[in-house]
Amino acid sequence: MAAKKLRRARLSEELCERLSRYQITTCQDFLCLSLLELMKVTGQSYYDVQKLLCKVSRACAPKMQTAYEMKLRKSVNPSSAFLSTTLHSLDKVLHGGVPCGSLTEITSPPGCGKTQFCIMVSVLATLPVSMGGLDGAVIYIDTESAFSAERLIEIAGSRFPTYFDSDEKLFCMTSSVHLYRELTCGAVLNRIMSLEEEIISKKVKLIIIDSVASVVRKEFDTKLQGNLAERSNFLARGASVLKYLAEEFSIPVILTNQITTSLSNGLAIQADLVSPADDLSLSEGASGSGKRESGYVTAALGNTWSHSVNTRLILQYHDLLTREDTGLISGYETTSESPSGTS
Amino acid sequence: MDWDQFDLNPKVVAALKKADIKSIKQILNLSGADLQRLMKLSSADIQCLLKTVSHTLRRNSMITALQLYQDKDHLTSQHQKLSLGCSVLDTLLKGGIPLVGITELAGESSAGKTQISLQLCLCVQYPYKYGGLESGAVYICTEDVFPSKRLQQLIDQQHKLRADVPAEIIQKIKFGNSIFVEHAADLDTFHNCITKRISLLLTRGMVRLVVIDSIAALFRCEFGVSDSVMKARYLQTFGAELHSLSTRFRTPIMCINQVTDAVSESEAAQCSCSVVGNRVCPALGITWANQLLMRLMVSRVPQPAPSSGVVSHPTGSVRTLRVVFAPHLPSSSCCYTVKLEGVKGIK
Repeated sequence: MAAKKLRRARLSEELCERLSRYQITTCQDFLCLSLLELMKVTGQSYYDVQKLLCKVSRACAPKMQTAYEMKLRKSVNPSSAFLSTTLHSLDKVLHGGVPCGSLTEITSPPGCGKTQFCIMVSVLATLPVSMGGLDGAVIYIDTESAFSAERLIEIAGSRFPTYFDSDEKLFCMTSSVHLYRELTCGAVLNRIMSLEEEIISKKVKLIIIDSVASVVRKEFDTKLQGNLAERSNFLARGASVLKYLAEEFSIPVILTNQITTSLSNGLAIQADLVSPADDLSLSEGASGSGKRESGYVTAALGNTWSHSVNTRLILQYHDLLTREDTGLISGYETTSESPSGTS
Repeated sequence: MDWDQFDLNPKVVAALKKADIKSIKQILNLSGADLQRLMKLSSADIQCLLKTVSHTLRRNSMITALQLYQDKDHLTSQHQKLSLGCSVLDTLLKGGIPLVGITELAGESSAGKTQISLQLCLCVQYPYKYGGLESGAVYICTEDVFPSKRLQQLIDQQHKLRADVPAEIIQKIKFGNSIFVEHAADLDTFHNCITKRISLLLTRGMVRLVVIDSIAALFRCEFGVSDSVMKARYLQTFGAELHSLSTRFRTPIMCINQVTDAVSESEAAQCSCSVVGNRVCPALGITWANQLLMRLMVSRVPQPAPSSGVVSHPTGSVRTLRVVFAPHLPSSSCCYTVKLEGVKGIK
């Protein structure tokens, strides 16, 4: 927020022009200078500079709002508070759908349907408000090259055949899904930092990052010293910028995570480990020691990340045919689990 | 070069014309200081010029789904896939193997995995028009000797398998010449191979397919149950390197995996085995599965309910190829047999 441009802080044009000659373009640059320097740079009197300081500080400080105002706003216009996923039981459990203004994480074993869910939600976000959508563009940051445009069109055509009956509507929908392919942590972070301008210029109403876990887990090896801290640092920075964007523009942000197994056999092991249950055939032959490590599957990226996201959805294989969606602790409900509909 | 079309200060445009700079290449070949001297502009102006010029060359890395679908930029085209050489199998995979990402082929022994990968090595050498990539393949063997006799058989029978390709094109391609075989029996050799040796071939464009037969063999012998952490680390590293090679060079990577028994319901559900009594799931666990784009499974158990018009094949030679997960494909399967000329799907 300190990087907000001065032009957006409602300063006059010629003042902004004059300041940019001194390389002062953001609120941060402005507020870092002392009063005397500001007087020299703006050429105005002491009192005027004080007023300018007030104005700029107010522009980049978060506004206070009362809980009553927030509730009023959400009850007057409930469609702006949630993005309905059109899965009725899931919407019921989430009290309306994917919440706007906060981070939602979807995690599951591989092949369960995270990317499919993300693609489906991108279609929903481009629908008009009357059909339950957000009538806006979507930013899709793809780190695994798993996004498929044909699948997007297939989903749109099969799910809303009456709405997407003409090619023109399909073109309109697909041209509002903006795809970025980023392959490293640094690239993802840079992209997140530069999203603010894109959100304003393209009227974006949904941000999807698929998947955070794959880039982070490839680059940071938690066994090496210092890497764990660096990784948490990176995740925290990314999450804070995303939260600011979600809050400021009131849009939902959806992130995808992976599943990992956490061993609990007394050794001080970090959270990202492999499942001991694979290669059963090998271990059966060598099970002389008898010490069976018990493990349970959990979302990857550790505890710090769990605190950064507001809502976590877990998809699992139920039986051979259906998959189950378990909504976990979120800001909107306190019950821990409710198995909901099948997709 | 029409400098007016760029979003530049008129002063800069005038300086460019005066200095007689005719192309973007000339601008990018000179250093900042040289440009300053040549055009007599300040460094800020030169920076601006360089930025604008490089921006036009390297378009914004964002594309919309519409552009992706309409295939405007063939560098990011998703429509292009590596065909398997048989129309039935290609229909199952909606074109073939995707060019970017790791594809896994898992199955029991003698289900036909090596046959399919040998066929892919030959298919990649055909021209783009016939579903190939006009380039060679790298075949990394980790457990067995490379089946060169079978490869020779397949090469001799290519005209029979690919009846759709004119005979003179098949004769022109020197199949054996472009398949590079590497034997890597342990992790270090394998690591060396994928980091140093393959990149040489890939940068020169001599290969556009990497087959690893098999990835499971490297790990199952060396790591016991207590070494799970080490194993996971290696899997992550290899997966990341393969994925980065695949994206940089738009090269499909085909990994062959082995299977283990699925003991619990949930494990069986994960690989959607619909045949009770033959519940196997691919080896190497969740860590490896997270790195994959697409997973295919082959088995020797034929699907039930054959249609009556089908020529009856001797039982036991009909195999099933199933899509376990893929972002662009539904869960589907088809039958195939392994003949002298290669793998052919059965409708």
